[in-house]
Amino acid sequence: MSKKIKRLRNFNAQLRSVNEKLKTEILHRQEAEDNLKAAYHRLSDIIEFLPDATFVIDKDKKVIAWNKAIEEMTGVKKEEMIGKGDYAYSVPFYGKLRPLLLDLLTVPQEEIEAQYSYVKREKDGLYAEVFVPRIYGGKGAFVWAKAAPLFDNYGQIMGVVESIRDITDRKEAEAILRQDKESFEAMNKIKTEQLLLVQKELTDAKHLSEIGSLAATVAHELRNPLAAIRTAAYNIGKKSRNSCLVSHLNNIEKKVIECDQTINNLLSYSRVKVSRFEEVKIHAILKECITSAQDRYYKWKVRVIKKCNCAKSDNIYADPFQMRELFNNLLNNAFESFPEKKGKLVIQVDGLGNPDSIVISFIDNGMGINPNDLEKLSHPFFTTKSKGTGLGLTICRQLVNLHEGSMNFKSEIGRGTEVKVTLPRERKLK
Amino acid sequence: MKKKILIVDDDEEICEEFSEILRGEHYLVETAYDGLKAGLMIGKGGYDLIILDLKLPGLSGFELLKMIRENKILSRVLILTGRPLLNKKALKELPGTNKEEEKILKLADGIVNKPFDIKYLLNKIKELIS
Repeated sequence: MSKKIKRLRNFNAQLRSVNEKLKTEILHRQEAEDNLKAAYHRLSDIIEFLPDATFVIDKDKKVIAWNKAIEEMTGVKKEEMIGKGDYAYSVPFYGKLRPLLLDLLTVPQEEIEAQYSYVKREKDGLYAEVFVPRIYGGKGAFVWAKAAPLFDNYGQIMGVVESIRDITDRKEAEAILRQDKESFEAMNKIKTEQLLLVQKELTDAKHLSEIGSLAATVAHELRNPLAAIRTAAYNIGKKSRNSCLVSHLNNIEKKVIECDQTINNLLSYSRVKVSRFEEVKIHAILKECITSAQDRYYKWKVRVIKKCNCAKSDNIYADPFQMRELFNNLLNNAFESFPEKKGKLVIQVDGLGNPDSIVISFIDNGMGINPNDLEKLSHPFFTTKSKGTGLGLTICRQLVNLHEGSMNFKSEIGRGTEVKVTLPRERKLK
Repeated sequence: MKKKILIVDDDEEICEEFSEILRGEHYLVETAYDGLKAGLMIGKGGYDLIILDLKLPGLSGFELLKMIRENKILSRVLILTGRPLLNKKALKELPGTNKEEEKILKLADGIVNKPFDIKYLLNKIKELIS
């Protein structure tokens, strides 16, 4: 009996001990479970508040995490997505069922590249850049996605996490930068062209100043002998009773004047121009110039017609010398346009009904100007004549510009040329 | 009484040809090819008109003109130059003239450019001394 009791007591003690152990064990387990739960919650919380849209699938490809940022990006709530499989997670992105980046972790590179504009495989996962059409309420956005596998303690894949970042802003910035770069390049190109132009002007200016000093010297050195020649010719004419000499002497006189004109052109082209404005009788000056041109070309059969559509007393503010120079040059050109030394030249002054400016047109029915040459007309030293400095029209353009007027050409080969000079009546105050 | 004219120009041919023209117009004409000789001649006086080139050996036309006016010599002075002068008014634009020369040039009675139109020049001379 006592033995039985002893055994029972023993057994009882054993049970109690086992019970104690069990209790401790349960406590441990509960503790572990609590820890696990806490860890899980911590992890969920971390995922939940990650700034990048993030979701996780388990190894059966069912969604086990869907954070706040991805809710905002897709407009799909966590409750609607958790536990879903069969690519359901792709619908908010693409509007259809299809694999996403995280499904491609084990797929070969080539197949992935077919779907993403940019994919890079690294040790810890996949990176991709792609346009996703359905997010942000259908607005779509460029995103940068990263997918990485999750492993358990034994190294087995237990799920995959994918994180998505909106890079639309960056893309836009890139586009702006690219645009800026392009417009900068375009601007640069324009500036370069302008620079080249300025450089050319500078070269021209240097050229000009050289011509200027050369011209001044040449002028002085040539004018003396010209004066002597002219005077001598006059004396021959006086002394000789031989009338056959007259035409030859006239020729000498004419050539002297031509030389002087060339010198004047060179000089006035190279001289720094300032206009001295005064009230000028433009009709009188024009008439004077026409007469002297007719004298210069007295042998030519050119009918000169002056038409006037304004009051003869119409005066304008201009530099009288420069006006003479302008008209002389234009008249010379008009006369030179008649290769047969005959033709018709109409000079028309229009001013009626225009209080601001008058227009003087020189219309010849001469040989006309080649369309290719029209734009080169005012270039210094451009000439189609076998003689001449090629400065006449350059000077005209300068003079017209000084008067803040304009000069336009209309021409047709074989039909003639019309030069239209518009001059303001008053000096505009700047 | 015949008017007396002095032509001062280092270009002998101009002097020669032009004095012949002036003689034909019944003027008394003398010539000088350099500034010094001209200065001496002018000093003696008696010229109604002095036709003066600007660029001269010895004394320049500017110096002669200044001298004429400072010594109150009663001759009219006509400048005859190959310099790019247009007329008195346009002087300021001319290269090769400084402020001092400009001032002197204003003392002249007229300026005519070479190669001159002879009839124009004869008229100008008539204007000055008849």
